[in-house]
Amino acid sequence: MNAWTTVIGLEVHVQLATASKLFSPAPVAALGEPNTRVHAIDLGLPGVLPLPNAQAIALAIRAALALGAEVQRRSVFARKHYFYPDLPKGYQISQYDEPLARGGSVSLGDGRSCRLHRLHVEEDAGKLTHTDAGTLVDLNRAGVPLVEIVGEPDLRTPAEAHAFLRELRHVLRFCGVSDCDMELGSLRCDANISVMPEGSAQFGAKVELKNLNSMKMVQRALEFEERRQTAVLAAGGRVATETRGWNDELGESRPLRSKEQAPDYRYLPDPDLPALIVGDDEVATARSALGELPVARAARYREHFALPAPDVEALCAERSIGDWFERVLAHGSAPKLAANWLVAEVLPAWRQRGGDLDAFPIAPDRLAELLALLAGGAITQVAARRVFAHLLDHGTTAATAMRELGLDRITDPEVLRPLVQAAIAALPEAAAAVRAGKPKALDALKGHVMRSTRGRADPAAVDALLAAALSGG
Amino acid sequence: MHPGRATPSIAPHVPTPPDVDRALIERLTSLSRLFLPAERHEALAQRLQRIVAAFGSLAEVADDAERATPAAGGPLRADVPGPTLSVDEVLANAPAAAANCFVVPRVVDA
Amino acid sequence: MTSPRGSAAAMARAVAAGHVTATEGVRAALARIQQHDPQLRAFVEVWPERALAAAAAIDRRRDAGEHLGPLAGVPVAIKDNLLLAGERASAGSRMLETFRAPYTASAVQRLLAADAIVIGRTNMDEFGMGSTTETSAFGPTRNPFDANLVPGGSSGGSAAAVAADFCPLALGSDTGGSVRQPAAFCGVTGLKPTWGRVSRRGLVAYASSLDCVGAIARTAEDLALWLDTAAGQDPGDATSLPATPPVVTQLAAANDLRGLRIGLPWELNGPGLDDEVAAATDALGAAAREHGAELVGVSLPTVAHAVAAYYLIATAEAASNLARYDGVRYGLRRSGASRLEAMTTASRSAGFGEEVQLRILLGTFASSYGYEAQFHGAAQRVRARLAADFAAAFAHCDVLLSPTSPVPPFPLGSRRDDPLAMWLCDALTVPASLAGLPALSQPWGATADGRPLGSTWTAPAGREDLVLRVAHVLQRHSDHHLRRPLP
Repeated sequence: MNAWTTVIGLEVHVQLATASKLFSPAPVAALGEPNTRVHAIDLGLPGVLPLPNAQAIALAIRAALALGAEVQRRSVFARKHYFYPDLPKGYQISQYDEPLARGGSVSLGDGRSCRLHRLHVEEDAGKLTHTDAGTLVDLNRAGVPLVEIVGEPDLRTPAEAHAFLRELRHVLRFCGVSDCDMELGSLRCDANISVMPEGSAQFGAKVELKNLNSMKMVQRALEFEERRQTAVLAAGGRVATETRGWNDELGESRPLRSKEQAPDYRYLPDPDLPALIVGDDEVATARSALGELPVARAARYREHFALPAPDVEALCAERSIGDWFERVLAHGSAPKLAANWLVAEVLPAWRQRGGDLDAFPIAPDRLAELLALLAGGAITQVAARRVFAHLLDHGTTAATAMRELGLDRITDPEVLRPLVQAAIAALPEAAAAVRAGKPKALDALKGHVMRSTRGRADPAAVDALLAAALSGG
Repeated sequence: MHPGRATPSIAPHVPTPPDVDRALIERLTSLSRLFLPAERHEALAQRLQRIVAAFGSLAEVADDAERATPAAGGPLRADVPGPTLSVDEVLANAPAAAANCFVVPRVVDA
Repeated sequence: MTSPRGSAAAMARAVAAGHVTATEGVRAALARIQQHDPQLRAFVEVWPERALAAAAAIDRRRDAGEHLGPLAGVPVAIKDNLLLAGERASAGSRMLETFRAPYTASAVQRLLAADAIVIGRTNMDEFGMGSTTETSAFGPTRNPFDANLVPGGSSGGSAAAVAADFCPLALGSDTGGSVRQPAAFCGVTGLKPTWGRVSRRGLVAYASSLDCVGAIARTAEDLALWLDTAAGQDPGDATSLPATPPVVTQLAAANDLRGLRIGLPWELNGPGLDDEVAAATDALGAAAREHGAELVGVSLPTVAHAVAAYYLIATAEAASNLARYDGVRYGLRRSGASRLEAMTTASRSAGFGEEVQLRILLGTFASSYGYEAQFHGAAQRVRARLAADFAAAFAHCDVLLSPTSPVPPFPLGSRRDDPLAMWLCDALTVPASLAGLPALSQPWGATADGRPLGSTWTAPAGREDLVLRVAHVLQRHSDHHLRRPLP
């Protein structure tokens, strides 16, 4: 029985989070009526010239640094030529033999990582809609800035490919480079997979997989291909080097019709664009804009704050979460308590409401105030949750919320004594039981007082008053 | 990112000096989406052959020189969204339009 | 003076001073065009309503005492490859025959900002590819000096318009000589600025790293006036350069050429030149010496390969720039094809003429995988070497002098059979194009039978002032540039 080794390499396109397109000032907004976000430059009209977007380059540099790649001080835009109706100029402005960055890596967990080959900037094409009457062309997306990240074929399982995509998404979202949303198309992935006999010095025939619309789909498609190619080889056949499209409904890949095996893109350095020179100061600016990377932050939370792994993972999911958490700490909250409340209360409420965490109705200092009340015993856990809900809707201070909810603890004996008397009067059997030496019956009486104060009665004060009331005659 | 577009993996055989034959003419006309009736292929091949012969020796000249490459440029454009064409303007010169889109014959490998 | 036979500078002064109205000037120009252009076909389209409306607006502003621009009231023609919003621009091609521009080229915007009056678009070789204006899809333009002769190209219409005194100034574009050569053939003066000096935004691209917006006029002074309004960084063109100090004011003080060293590259001044051509340039050199200049011999060895390098680079870039003409978003579409690829092929084959198709095929070849290094790549290396040759030459001189064309103007239809032979006639102009240098052709001399001849001055990058100054001084003391073929 032969053993086989699977070799997988991914090519990922990520849409950069800019306000305008890569070479034109047309806005980059999520949705829109067809052809409403088209500048003359995007239309490829005669005489138009590309105007590179400074922020797109800055984000691409930031992505390169976040992935540990080496930013090239000089890179060149190149024209990649082919005819297709979604490509207005008949060429895509991309980069060829002088890309923006080389190298880098993506962590797969468990000490494994996948190296990156290169990273470059390019413009997106428009969108086609196929109907029976013909194909409709919408150029809203034409010119949107992309960064293409090419991974080395270091991945050995479909699960690793999934891990690669998840980590890539995590890092790039963390650093504000892109939303990396496969469903919305801001992260796209093509996969290359081959199978060879274990120990072989040469990779097997490479199959390129397209039409992969989610990370899970990437894994499913690769699993299918792995099985398919292994079966072919095991039966003594040869795997064809080809491009196959994934059909998720049918759960299979099919060869795509392509006229040419190796299209000739006739790359030319774009004469309309000067070479891209990245100076030391630009790299330094990008590095400081990068801030702390998720790996470093996770280590810090583990070691400095002694937080357990699930908390660390939740707090490091996005930069804004950790930043918010640390602001709560800055107001004096204990890390574990703050982490608990973030994970259990803040994050779920935030996810439900959407928007930026900075715009969350409860500010970090307000939460810190609530946590201080809780930690100091002025409020029960249950009451604290009610205060939290109140703060969400009304945005007051915790103290105000407590008053408005009637949650301040009642310790005044003058207030409590009548309630204690009322409890004893309402539950004579329990009172008699306590007098007869059965302390457990106290619970019912205590519960009665608590209920009548809607939880606000101070338990210790109630205990003392009950004891006094029942010890007498 | 298009269906059917495989990445180049095999370099074509490069004859030196290049022979401008029928296969090359067909490849060039296909690549540039031009149609030449068969009777014009011969004349074109001869023309191109003469030109290629006249220009082919360039490779020996200055083969130690660096290529002329784009010079460095000025500051890049600030990332501020600007005005776009209206849909009517976008489609103003369109040979065929429907539903606010350009219309082309259905793409083959869709 | 009310006729367009005066210079642009004189016209602008007259309008500003109130001696003539812009409307009178435009009317005179339009009348002259109506009378003579049917024979010449310099114009593809004239815009009388637009021109008269603009003239009326300028006259109103002048009467109100408002400030007027340096070209106020001057009728100016623009080449058919410069976009003007709302008007058609076809670049001499059936592909764009009905295309209407949705925006205005930066160079045209600057003309309008200077209060010049755009009166129409001039004929050209299709997409700039040609040196006779015979590849225009709309018929050739004739040389005003002799209707049987070509006016040169690709800016033949602009050169003819100025030579026929339809307007004192016309914009053109120069990729391998397309402003200089037609200026020489039509006995007028043409300026190709440093690459990048004038924004290319809105110029229908032929070969981007070589294309320059240029201008044609009778006098160097008019060209300086134009350059001062046209040059300057444009945020719409990432390759555009900052403006250089204004030239026109410098010209007033330029009286002689003492201290100027003129280099004569022997490779451009000897081998293969028509005798009369060589003699005319010799005479110009001699005249320059009389004004105090010094002549030195220099060498540009790589020039021997300049035509090859030019045609490999230009056609590779042309194939690239013309890929957008696919019948999808604008331009000619041949419908009836059920498949997309067939539609694109049919549209392009119908829309592009033979010369354009040849150059696209050559350019595709030169940039194709497996051949690129040997052809386009080699051409780019030769280009770098040529730039070094120029730099070395300019260590010994301030400007270079050579004939503009190796041959005098020739009859229409006489050179259409052999593209390669035609291309070799660009040998004297393409070197400066490849090196991105400013160059000016001034008319000097004529053949025995009266065909105009011209010579070109070339300067280092950014030194348009030098070529304008030398031509200006010589023109102050001569009248070659004032030969008028039409009454």
